[in-house]
Amino acid sequence: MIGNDIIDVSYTRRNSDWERKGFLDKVFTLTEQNDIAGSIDPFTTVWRLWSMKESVYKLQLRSKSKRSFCPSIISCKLLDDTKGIVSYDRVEYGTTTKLYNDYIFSFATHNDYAGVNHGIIKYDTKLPEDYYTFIKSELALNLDCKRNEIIIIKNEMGIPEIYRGNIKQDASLSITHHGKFLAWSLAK
Amino acid sequence: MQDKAKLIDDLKKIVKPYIQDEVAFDNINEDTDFINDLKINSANLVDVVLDIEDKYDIEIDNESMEKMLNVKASLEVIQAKLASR
Repeated sequence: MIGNDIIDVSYTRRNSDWERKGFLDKVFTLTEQNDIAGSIDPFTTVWRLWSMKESVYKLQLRSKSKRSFCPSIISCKLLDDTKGIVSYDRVEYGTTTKLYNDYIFSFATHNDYAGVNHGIIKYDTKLPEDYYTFIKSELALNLDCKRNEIIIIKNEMGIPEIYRGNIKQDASLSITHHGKFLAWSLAK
Repeated sequence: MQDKAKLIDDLKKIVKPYIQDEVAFDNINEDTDFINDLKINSANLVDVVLDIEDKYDIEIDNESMEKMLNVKASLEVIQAKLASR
């Protein structure tokens, strides 16, 4: 299983105020709030932790029957500049985060997979209507098949699943978009 | 207890700055989902919860927040918190 999350840095600077009263308490554990307060760049630490939580939430949603929203019950430990451990419902997940000037990208995996691949694109204005076509083209390269053989269907929980013909594939797909960025992650 | 139409109207004003789907916003009703329909991003969902706390002077605990993904659940949380004051 896989879950991912991308954060558009400039979009976030414009649209989210992590310093507003109450925000940190609603989203982060006390340990995380200490990590944020003690970091050189609190903004980046806030959104790095957020993307770790979001990617684990999305991964874990695959085994749940109901969506929920409560970031502060998902707790993160930062191991180094990229790796982290996230605990949610008494299960620990390993996360990887890549920090760039214009985006922050995290993904979490649970089971062992032979390979995890990602694709990230920046688009000009709005999320393009045909973004699935783009994702399918890239998945085709990874799954060694033709683009038009791939069908992506979101299940009732909003999780994308890959089909070839009528057959659901074992490969686990996660899609995230935010601001002007779109990313997919595939574990197979 | 405030009537439901007024609560929906207030909630509409609260979510307005964060919505990304105008059509869904114009047609807002109890079944409207904040993320799937209004396309509010999850970070802004925290803002919605904080704005609701400020507006009604209530405190929304984790258990209540978990449910607040749509209009109906949010109205239920607000009504319950107001009633228990």
